[in-house]
Amino acid sequence: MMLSFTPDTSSARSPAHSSAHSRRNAILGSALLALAVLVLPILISASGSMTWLRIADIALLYIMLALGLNIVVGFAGLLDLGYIAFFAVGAYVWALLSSPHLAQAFPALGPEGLHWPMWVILPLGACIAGLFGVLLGAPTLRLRGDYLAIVTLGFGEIVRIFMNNLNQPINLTNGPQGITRINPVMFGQFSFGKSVTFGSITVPSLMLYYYLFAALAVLIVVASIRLQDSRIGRAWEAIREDEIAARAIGINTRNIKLLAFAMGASFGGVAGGLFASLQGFISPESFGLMDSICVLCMVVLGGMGHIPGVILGTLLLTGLPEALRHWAGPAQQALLGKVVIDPEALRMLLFGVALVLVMQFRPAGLWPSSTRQRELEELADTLPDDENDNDDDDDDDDEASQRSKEVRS
Amino acid sequence: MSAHPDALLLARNISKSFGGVQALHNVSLDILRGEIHGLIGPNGAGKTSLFNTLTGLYEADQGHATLNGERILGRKPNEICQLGLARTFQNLRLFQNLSVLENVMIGRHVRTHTGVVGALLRTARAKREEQEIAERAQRLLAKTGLLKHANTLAKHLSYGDQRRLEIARALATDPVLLALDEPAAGMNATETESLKALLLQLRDEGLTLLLIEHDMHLVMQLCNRLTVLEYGRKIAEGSPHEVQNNPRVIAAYLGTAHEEVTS
Ligand SMILES: Nc1ncnc2c1ncn2[C@@H]1O[C@H](COP(=O)(O)OP(=O)(O)O)[C@@H](O)[C@H]1O
Ligand SMILES: [Mg+2]
Repeated sequence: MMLSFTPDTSSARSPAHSSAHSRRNAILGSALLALAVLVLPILISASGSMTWLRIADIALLYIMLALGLNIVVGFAGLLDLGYIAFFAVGAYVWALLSSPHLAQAFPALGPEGLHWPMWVILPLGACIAGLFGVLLGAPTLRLRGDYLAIVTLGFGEIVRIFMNNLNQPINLTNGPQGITRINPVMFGQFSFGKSVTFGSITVPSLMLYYYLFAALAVLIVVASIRLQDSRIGRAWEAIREDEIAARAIGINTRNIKLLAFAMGASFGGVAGGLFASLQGFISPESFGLMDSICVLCMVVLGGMGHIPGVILGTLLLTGLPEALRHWAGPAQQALLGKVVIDPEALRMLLFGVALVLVMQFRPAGLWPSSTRQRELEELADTLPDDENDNDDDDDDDDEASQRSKEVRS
Repeated sequence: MSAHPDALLLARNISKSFGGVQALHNVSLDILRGEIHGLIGPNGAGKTSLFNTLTGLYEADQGHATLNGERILGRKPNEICQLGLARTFQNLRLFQNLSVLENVMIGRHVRTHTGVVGALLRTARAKREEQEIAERAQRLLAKTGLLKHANTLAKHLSYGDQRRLEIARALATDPVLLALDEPAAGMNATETESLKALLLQLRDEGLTLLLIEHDMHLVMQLCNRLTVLEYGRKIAEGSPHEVQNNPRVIAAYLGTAHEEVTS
């Protein structure tokens, strides 16, 4: 299923569309959303659940990751199954430059290792991840679709295997044991690693991280929107739609594709660095193929190429499995007297079922761009109901319709 | 054969084969500044192959070509477009899921400069450029009669409109030579008529056109000069009148559709 797909979202953004009315609605909507984002951690911690606060933090990291992958897959149409590698690169850059680990391999650094400030490491991590994006993207430039997916899958695994084995001859990554004692985010002397007390209010560390991550996620959202609405974003979409036409129309497809890989990877690098600082510990185990697929699911489920859709997909796929994990066990205990299905297994089941349902009933994702949605509705109107997903002239880029054709034929 | 002093595009001895098929055999072509040059010949004669070779999509086995004195063979399609040769495709290649306006805006890519930094920071320059791109695209849509469809997805346009959109997109690259591969194919009489008016207008504005077309009526009315291909070889060139009366051309077309030429 994953291998036969063509990204198919689009959005006809145009200056002609913006009226004062819709602008006011947009501002109101963003204000409400901002308020919700600000209040959410307060509500969660008022309920006393640190677990959910952590999940909210992780969800924000996943939003950054998914938006990065969305540039590659959603905008440029390049199916990347090794995307988690860039998250790993960002995490390892942070871990190496902000933990005592390197002192072991390079005694010249002194017993404390490197403890560079966030202002340096985070941009550096983004740049190095971006560089990796270019390095791993360059050999794939002539590939598309299935072939690209397989090669990027391989690259993702290669990066993970390197992390696993670069403890010899010099111990760079500490192999499967991973790197521990990674510094939390520090602003000068102010550490995000411990809770702080302002007068009578105590703000837990996870909440500090939440606001930091939320701010950075907003930056990444804004960056995504601005890129999509720019000359570069249009070039990405042109390549997604028709690479030969893009070349003939003067787009240097090599550079523009590499740019997509680099930008997507750098978003992933930022998320990776923040992940390392939040956890204080990283190991290659966190960066496997399943994690790449997981991020891809978020993008596809929400609506490839549509930023709000991608965010929605991410929230659902981080929130629901966690909810399952926390409630499925106790619920089974209460209803059946014992835990029949391991909640962890249910999580993968949920992923699978969610994807199958979405591909079948909402092929453009849960929340596709408005043009795309309108189109599917038009299609639904013009076709008899049972022919709906079996039409083959106009929407042969719809994955579900293709798959259902295959299934039925 | 000597180069014409006014030649905008000069192609010499271009050959291209696919396995056993010799699609082009020592084809030479001169296109003069300001003319509409017709490229005709029966199906499979190699017309589209010549387009693809000149625009860098195919690599020629042999031969050389210049546009405005700049070598084009051996360059990448985007570089050739940058040098001023834009084209349309016989089998439409629009950006289907993008709006009509966006399709044309993408055509401006090659003449604009905003990069990632400009886009992320929305610098004054980037904003100005973006505005220029949108305005320019809208003017081109007005010119090609597509303005009312600006926000329609390209794939929802009628066939004739899709062909016009390809022309608008190609024009957005500011070409000096516009190569059209069967632009009237699938158009009805009214659409063909307005296409003709558009092409004449473009020529009067100083653009040079290279036109592959099967509608002989249109070719004879529009073109200043013609080149005729058959089985990958050039069999005739000259004014429409000369070509029409060339026995080899008549023979070539007799095999396929005699009345097309003589009508
Ligand atoms: N990409 C290709 N691969 C193999 N054969 C090709 C290719 N392109 C064109 N040809 C062959 O070259 C010949 C000329 O085709 P074409 O240039 O499309 O002709 P025309 O445009 O004049 O109808 C045909 O025999 C065609 O089959
Ligand atoms: Mg042809």
